Amino acid sequence: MPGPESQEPKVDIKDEKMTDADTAQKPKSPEEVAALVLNDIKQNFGFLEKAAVNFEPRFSMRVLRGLGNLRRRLTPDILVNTVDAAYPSSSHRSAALILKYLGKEESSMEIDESVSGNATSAVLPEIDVYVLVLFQVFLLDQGDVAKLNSFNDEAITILRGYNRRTLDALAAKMWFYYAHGKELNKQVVEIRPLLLAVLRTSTLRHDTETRAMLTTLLLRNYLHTQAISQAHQLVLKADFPESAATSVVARYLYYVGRIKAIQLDYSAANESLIGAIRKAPQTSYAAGFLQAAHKLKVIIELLMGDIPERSLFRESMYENALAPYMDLVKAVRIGDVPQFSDTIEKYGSVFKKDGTYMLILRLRQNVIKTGIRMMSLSYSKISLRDICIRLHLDSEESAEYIVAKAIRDGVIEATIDHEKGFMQSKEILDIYSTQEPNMAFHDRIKFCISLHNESVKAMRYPMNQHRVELKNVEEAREREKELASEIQEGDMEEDDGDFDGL
Amino acid sequence: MAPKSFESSARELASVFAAKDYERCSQLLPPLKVTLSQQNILVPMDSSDLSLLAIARDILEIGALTAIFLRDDLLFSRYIAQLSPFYAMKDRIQPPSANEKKLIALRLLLLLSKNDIAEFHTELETLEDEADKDIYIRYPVMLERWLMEGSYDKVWKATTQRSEVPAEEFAIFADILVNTIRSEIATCSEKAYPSLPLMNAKHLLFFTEDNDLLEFIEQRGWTVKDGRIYFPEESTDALESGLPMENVIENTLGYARELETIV
Repeated sequence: MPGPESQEPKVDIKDEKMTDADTAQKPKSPEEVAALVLNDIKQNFGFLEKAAVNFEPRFSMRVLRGLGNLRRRLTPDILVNTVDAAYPSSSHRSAALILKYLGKEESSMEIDESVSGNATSAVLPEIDVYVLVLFQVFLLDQGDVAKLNSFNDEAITILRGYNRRTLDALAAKMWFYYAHGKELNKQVVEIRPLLLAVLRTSTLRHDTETRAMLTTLLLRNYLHTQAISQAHQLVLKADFPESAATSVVARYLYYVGRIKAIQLDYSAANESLIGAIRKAPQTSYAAGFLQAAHKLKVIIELLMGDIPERSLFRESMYENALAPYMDLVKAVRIGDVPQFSDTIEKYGSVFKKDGTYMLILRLRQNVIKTGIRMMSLSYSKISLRDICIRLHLDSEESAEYIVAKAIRDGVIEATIDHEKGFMQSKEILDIYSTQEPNMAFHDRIKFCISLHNESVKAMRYPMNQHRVELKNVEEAREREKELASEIQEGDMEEDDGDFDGL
Repeated sequence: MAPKSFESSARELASVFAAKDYERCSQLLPPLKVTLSQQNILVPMDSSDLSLLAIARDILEIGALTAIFLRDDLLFSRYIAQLSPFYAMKDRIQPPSANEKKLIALRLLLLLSKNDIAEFHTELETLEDEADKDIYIRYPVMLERWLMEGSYDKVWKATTQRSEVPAEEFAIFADILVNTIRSEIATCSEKAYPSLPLMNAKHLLFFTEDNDLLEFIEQRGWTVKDGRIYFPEESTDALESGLPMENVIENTLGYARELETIV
């Protein structure tokens, strides 16, 4: 390319004028930057070809991982160059589609050709889908939702024409951006039948990546419109392939955790969320997801009666996002009902936006239970009237009923004397004499063992090397056998020669 | 059938319902539903005629309310299920239904009385904001909150005093709810009080007649001595210390098995 080369000398001259510290950051001309990006894209094409030929999903995953980096550097010009590089002629339907949306239609002649031109055989489907995904990301970053949606509709039709397993990871990405575009356009309910149909097809074809992604997308769709029972049915009926990419598994676990929390199954929800947090990448790229997951986790822990650790709220990634939740935890910990109501009032809109408002309302009884527990631990004997005053309850009767219920639920160990109107706490047991330490140890041991088993199962051996080694060993053995047989035959021939010589 | 006779039978149904002749209503409803499905508006789809959808919805609502008055839970649940696609399309059906909130609240109350708390909360999630503002929906929401907290006296007041109940249909659930409260209080009392004088028990359990109280006591299996109620003792821990040994053995064997697999 003539551009960058002619620019090189100028850049060097600038270099000499700069200090040493600056030489590390040479200002790059736009053509250089474009060329670099184009090179990256072409490199990715190479990876995709390797992936298609060798059936190695690793290469497709590598290409997709670079997507985040690439999308920040895309410009319309780079995309035009990409289209030129990828497709043999701009009459190819994907090429025509992209050029149309870029607003760079060549001429009416080309358009006529594109109607009949179906030159798909020359282009590798993986590359085709990859370029389409790049364009989707570009449109999304531009913020043009209407364009994105119409492009998506046509891109999806192209995608569904293919049926190759090597396309799985890329197809999943395309579906993700499709659903995302529709969600931004508030067309959530309409795409449900389509998503369900594609889920069925991908399950039949054993297409794990697409299946996992679509299940997750459907769950998000249902939760968006509060159709919780439908989401629950989907979780029950559709098996989720655990071998899909960890990012999708993390998202799936998060949605499952949300559904379970709404249905009052707090311990299962907690487990799901812990799994989701662990599977998510721990870098700042996943900050949004981790924040949302931690918010939900805090609420579920509160609902289960545990207080989340304070160190969580001090981490820089979570400090701002979780600030309202920290106030909430404080109110619940003290057992102060008016403070709890005030916190809800103050941050009500934040909670509603996070979708945790209804769950937080359920915390009210937890606040009261904690308050009662504090009372029972600190006083050996306290009158019901005092309980009523301290917990800001409405009447002594309510106080009596509430305490009775708390005793039944096992929150406190106490008895009530109705005539004299007081609550008497029982003696505190020595906890080591019960089964509690045993059970706690058992849980921890179980966790360590399952961690060990999962790690063993997750170890990966690159398949080809194994085969290559075997092949080498076999070849070596064959060669040895040949040598050995030749030596033997050689000996026998010599003997024959001796006889002939007679 | 011409729509004219369909609308007139709808009007007839409305008038019979207003006259509170629920038996007659339940007889009129099935043939009406058949007509609805013939007109393709029993299940609202994009192809249905919007003006007739409002009438269909009203008919189904009357059906649901009739089921409540006839105390038929299954029928009520079925009508509500049929009504839910109508409510999902509520922006497009004019005029908006006056009974919608009431029916949703009744459904919540039904779930609560059956102690189906998971479904209750699932339904509640779909109603986010309206819980506090609407008088009908606030009723079951507050009831559930008080039940969970344990302030049974508030629940008692809410169900039995007419001033608190927003509509007469809710009063029908009063009996079931009172029974629920009573059994809850009884279970709590067993654990909380060592013993209880009869007079106080009567007051706590909201009984007015001594006979009712004595019947209830017999039902729960409590013993009465000198005008005090004694609750059955809990089984002592001595028995329990024998059983956990099985658990410990099982666990330890599990550990051994797993450790052996570590190469």
